[in-house]
Amino acid sequence: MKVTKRTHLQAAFQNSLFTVLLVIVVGLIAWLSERYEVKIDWTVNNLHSLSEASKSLLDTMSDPITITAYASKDNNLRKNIQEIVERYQRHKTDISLNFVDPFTVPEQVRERGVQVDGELIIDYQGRSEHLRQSPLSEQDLTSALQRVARTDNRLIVFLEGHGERNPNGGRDYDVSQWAVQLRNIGFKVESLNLGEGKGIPENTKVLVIATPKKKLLPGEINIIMEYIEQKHGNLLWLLDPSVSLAGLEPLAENVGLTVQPGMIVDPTSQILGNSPAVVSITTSGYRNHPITLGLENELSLFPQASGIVVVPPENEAWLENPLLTTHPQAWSETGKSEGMVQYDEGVDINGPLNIAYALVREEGHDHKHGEEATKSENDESEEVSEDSEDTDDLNNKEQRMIIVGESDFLSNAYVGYGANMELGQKMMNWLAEDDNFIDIPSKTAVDLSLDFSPKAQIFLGSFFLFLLPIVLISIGIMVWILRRRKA
Amino acid sequence: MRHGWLINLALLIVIGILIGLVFYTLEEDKPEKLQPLSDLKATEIKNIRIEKANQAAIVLKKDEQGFWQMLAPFELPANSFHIDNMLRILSEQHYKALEMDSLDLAKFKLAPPLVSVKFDDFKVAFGDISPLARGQRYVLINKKVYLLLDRLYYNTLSNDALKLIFLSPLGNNPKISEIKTPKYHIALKEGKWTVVSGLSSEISADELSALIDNWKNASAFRIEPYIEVEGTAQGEIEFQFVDKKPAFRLKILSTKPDLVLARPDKGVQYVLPVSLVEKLLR
Repeated sequence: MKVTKRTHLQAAFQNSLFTVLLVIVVGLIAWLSERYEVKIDWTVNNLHSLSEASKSLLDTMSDPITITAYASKDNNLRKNIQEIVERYQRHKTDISLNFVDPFTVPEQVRERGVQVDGELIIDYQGRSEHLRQSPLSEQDLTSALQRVARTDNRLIVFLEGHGERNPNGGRDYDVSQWAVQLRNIGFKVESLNLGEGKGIPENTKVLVIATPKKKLLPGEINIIMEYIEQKHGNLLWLLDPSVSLAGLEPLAENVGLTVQPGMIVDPTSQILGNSPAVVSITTSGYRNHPITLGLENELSLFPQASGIVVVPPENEAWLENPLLTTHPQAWSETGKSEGMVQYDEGVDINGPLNIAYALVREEGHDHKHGEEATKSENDESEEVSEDSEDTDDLNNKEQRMIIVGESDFLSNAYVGYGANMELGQKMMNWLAEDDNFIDIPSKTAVDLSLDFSPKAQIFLGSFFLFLLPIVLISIGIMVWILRRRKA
Repeated sequence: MRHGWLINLALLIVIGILIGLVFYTLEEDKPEKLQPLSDLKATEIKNIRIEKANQAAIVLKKDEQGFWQMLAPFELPANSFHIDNMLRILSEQHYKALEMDSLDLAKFKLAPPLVSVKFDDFKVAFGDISPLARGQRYVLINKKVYLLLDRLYYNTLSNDALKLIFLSPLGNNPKISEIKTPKYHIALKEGKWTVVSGLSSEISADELSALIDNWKNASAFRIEPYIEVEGTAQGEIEFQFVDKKPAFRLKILSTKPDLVLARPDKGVQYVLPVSLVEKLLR
């Protein structure tokens, strides 16, 4: 074809028109994509649509579950509920789902305390749980099932009044996100200020001492010691290298706790892109214990941890079990953190170092670790033998304690990292003696949130906003120049 | 080049299809046109009957001038503000029919209803409030149960009959021809208001006109049942009217702290602001 000015103009017009039409098509598709969506599940028989967390929970629930959905017919509520519950029914066939139009049964609605259209009531073993979230998600339903599966109200009491991490506070330092998750899975969380003259409630399942910054009063310490020694209460004690024992030395003596000086430096954390001041626990760092079972492939992060050593006195019946141990290359830096930080022989403490322990003690028995035990003078004489790490003794109530040389891992700033939330939940389930729930993961879906570091954000922003457009424009210009030369 | 034109043509066809889909989506998104609860027009209603359990029925009728009159339990002009509120039920569009296989009206407190209203032949029975949807109440219309957005309908209908009486002691648009109070007597003669006695003969026509207007616009802030107490009356006010409206008397029961004027023949007394004492009686 002969290229004339006319044909050249025609070609230019054609190309411009093509561009305009293409942009219009893309715009229309973009607008329509906001209004319509298509979901296709390509798994075989949708067998993999229910998460492992939900399946694990259902496996612990042996009795039938009845779900009554108070949802009216004239919107998509029922469809959403049906879809979600069907996934559970495929795994556990004795889950029944009944739909009731709440507007046709006002007296039933009042009787059962239904408050919103679309509310579910889950009945299990004579207990009920209401679920009001809409639209319904698997996470919501699994959390509700976990709450209804618990046989009683598990009360967790957080000590306050000395600068502790607040379960209701929104600061990075506080632990409210963890507390919300604990409530979701059926725990009742309260704060307690012993200085107000209140004692530790009788029905407390776990007392949490989350890094008090100010010294406790002698009276407060006595109450805590009475809780531990006379009432055999369970305890989660979170320490911090920058904070002293705050007067809890008697408790430390009771369990034989020694906090190693300095702060742990973990060079292996740098491989993972973290500061060496962050202790990374993974694989073999999780010691053999029901709490750490299932975490072998997970990573937990502990910013600024202290090594701790627990050697219970012989007259106390505690059995200790390390929970979390650092990499052998880690050490406790006792010197000043100025300039190059490195291990100094004779000054610093070489790894591996333990940063968490789980302790158990049976009521009415004194035990020595790994040996046959004899009862104390005040009890009837009876010989008892015990496996070193199996703490499920059905005949005697067991007192449980966890001590961790780091508390930031459960704070709002860090609880979302790695398996920190998971670990916190497992610790609480074990302390509350809900051994059935220890293995249930905290999230039905992993990586629901996407967190980028500042460097990654800058990189991604620069790439998509500047680099990629510049490259594409440059390529376009080059092609245009080449074509012109050829012409 | 032809190839390029064909591609552009194909794109145009795709755009046509997508635009069609967009218009269809916009049509779908348009909210459904709501149907009113009844085809009846409020202005065409002539009779209203309100029934409540263990209470006398309230009967209202529209007169030839278009004003609502209460026929029972009191024979007095009705309060049009409340009547209009009731009549809005006819054009109410925010309701939902309940689909049920069997009707157990008692559970909705519709058998018997808490209150029912009949607009000519159109009956609406009001039941319980929905425990779920705020401000929605169960109503029964033609054997069908609906959930109706209750814009104070129930509150208006469950009012005492006294609250449905027109607040002006002289009724709607009174054409007064003579007023006789303990302090003064004025009358309309040959189209002009004149002082018969009690007021200064120098009083201007405008002032007289203002006095008449004060009476016409006088409005009580509440109406109570008439309670006769011997020796408390402070006089009577007699009214005559131009049209065939019968004359009546108002008894002055008190002038402070409020002005209380009674209609013993109707069994009610009007409580008016004390500021009207000067404007009406002196």
